[in-house]
Amino acid sequence: MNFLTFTVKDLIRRKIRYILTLLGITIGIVTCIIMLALSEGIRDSFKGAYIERNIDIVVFAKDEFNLLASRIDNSVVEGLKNIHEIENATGVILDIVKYRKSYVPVYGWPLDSPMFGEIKINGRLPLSGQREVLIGELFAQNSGKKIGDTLDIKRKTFHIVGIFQSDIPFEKSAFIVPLITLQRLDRTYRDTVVAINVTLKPAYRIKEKIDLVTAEIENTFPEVSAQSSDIFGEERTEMILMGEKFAQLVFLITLFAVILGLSNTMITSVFEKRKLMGLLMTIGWKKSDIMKSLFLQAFLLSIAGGILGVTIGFFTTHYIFNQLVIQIFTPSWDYLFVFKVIGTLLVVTVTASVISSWSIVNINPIEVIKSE
Amino acid sequence: MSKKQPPLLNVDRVSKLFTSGRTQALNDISFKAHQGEFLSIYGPSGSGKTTLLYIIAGLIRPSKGEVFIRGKSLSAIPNLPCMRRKTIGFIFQDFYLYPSFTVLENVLLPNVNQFTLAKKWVIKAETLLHQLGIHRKARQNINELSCGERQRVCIARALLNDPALILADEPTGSLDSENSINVLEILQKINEQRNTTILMVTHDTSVSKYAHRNIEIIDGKIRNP
Ligand SMILES: Nc1ncnc2c1ncn2[C@@H]1O[C@H](COP(=O)(O)OP(=O)(O)OP(=O)(O)O)[C@@H](O)[C@H]1O
Ligand SMILES: [Mg+2]
Repeated sequence: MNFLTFTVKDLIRRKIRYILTLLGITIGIVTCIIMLALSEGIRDSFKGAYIERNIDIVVFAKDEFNLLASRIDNSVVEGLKNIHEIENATGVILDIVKYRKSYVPVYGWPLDSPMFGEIKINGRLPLSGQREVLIGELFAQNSGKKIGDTLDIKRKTFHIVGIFQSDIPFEKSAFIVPLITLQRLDRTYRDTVVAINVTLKPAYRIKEKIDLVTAEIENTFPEVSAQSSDIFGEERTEMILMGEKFAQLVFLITLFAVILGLSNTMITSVFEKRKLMGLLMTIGWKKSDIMKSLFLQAFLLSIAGGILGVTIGFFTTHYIFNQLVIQIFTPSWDYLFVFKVIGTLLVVTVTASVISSWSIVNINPIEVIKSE
Repeated sequence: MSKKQPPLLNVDRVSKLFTSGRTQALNDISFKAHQGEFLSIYGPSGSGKTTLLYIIAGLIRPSKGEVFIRGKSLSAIPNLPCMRRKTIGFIFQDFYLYPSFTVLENVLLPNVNQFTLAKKWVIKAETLLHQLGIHRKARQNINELSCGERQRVCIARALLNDPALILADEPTGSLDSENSINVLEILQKINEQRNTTILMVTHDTSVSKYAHRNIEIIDGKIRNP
């Protein structure tokens, strides 16, 4: 036996309490991870979409906060193409329709858009002006729809002509129809698009130039707002950001609960072991030795709970995110994320240890004197 | 006594006032104990015996007076826990053994405040358990032992670091007469064979006869100095 084995043995002496605390920490960490994954995933997915598509600037109706309500005249798309720095401008429609119990994004893309080159289509492209639709693979998976089936969009029947794969979470369970079809189908889209995705010529794809072009676009076309896709991603997704904030809040609350729970267990066990701690002092332990042992116990508990929590959290996030019919985000499990999880664990451990160590400061060997 | 060698223990005009309860637990206590002496401190409940032991061990500070170990004032010793571990062995009425730990682990307890424990301590602990006749229970859980056996584990734990001074607080208080005699004889043997100074607190006069010298405390004062 040494300090470490003593500490571990002393910790698991109370098996039920130990298991319950461990479970509490694990559940807390799992919740934290889901929430963290949610908030991170939301942001990354949104940003990723624009980076993936090489979109530098997003243009939408002037000061229109709700992207779905944005309308820009078709002529602006042509006008943008005349700006020297711009390599490509694609007017698109974004809509959301209800399918059974879930909501599905509908994209209207012009058929000559290079974006079609960036998705992998099984089947064929829809024909211009036809009520033909490509469905995302995840939607196909979840709804059981196949090529040749039909589905209703805006109360009109569409034929499924292809199933596509995309790396962008938003698109995984979306519909893509020809822009012109949507413009004819819905009066409010007549001769308009919702947003214009702008790609600059390679030489201009740096921040300073992007800002210059953005300003130029707004000067030339007073009826539109233009934002670099970075800023757009961060600013124009208030609804999503709300989700992110909410996730962060739940994350913090959970963290708080875990810290309280762990501290409570530690303090209870300190209280229960007062006499034994008094004993340790009479046989030559320093107060700091006892504190170290307690620290180590809190640390081991949260590490054990953390490892369990991370493992379960990893599988749960993937499971949950795959269940969603609209995949607007995917969990991000990169180094930074793991780093944040470890940071969270450290916060839990250190705070709980410090809180419970306070209860030791008052431990007095005289407790041993006043035996029953 | 010659002044060349200071006494192992010198309690010099020690008083203790517990401000919380406004109790004068000890009042001007002075006595000396030399290496190899077996002292019994006798007194009724509440007379301050335990308080005295804790002051000697440096676990409580006296309100007045000083305690010297080998001529050195406790207040001048920088690392009291270390002194306690090396010089003092505690034996309690209620044993204070760690539940769910084995006999051997309990004996080793004073030295497991470090991340490594030298093998020699395990051998030492086993030897002590052997000498006390409980080596066969070394790997058994403390909860499975009788009271007499538990007190012997407690004694083994106190002896782990070969202390010069053993402070025994009513070591027979929880034992039947047969086990009491057994424990007292063990203490006597330790005193004789190891020349360990023993300070034994009791409120049972029949126990005092094992000691060389008796000190009686009543209401925090020594009655026959
Ligand atoms: N921490 C404390 N605060 C206040 N008073 C205390 C404290 N510890 C002990 N006392 C008081 O000091 C007096 C002596 O207590 P002590 O425990 O030393 O007696 P004792 O002789 O060991 O008694 P017993 O034989 O019952 O063990 C008692 O009146 C007790 O109430
Ligand atoms: Mg007492």
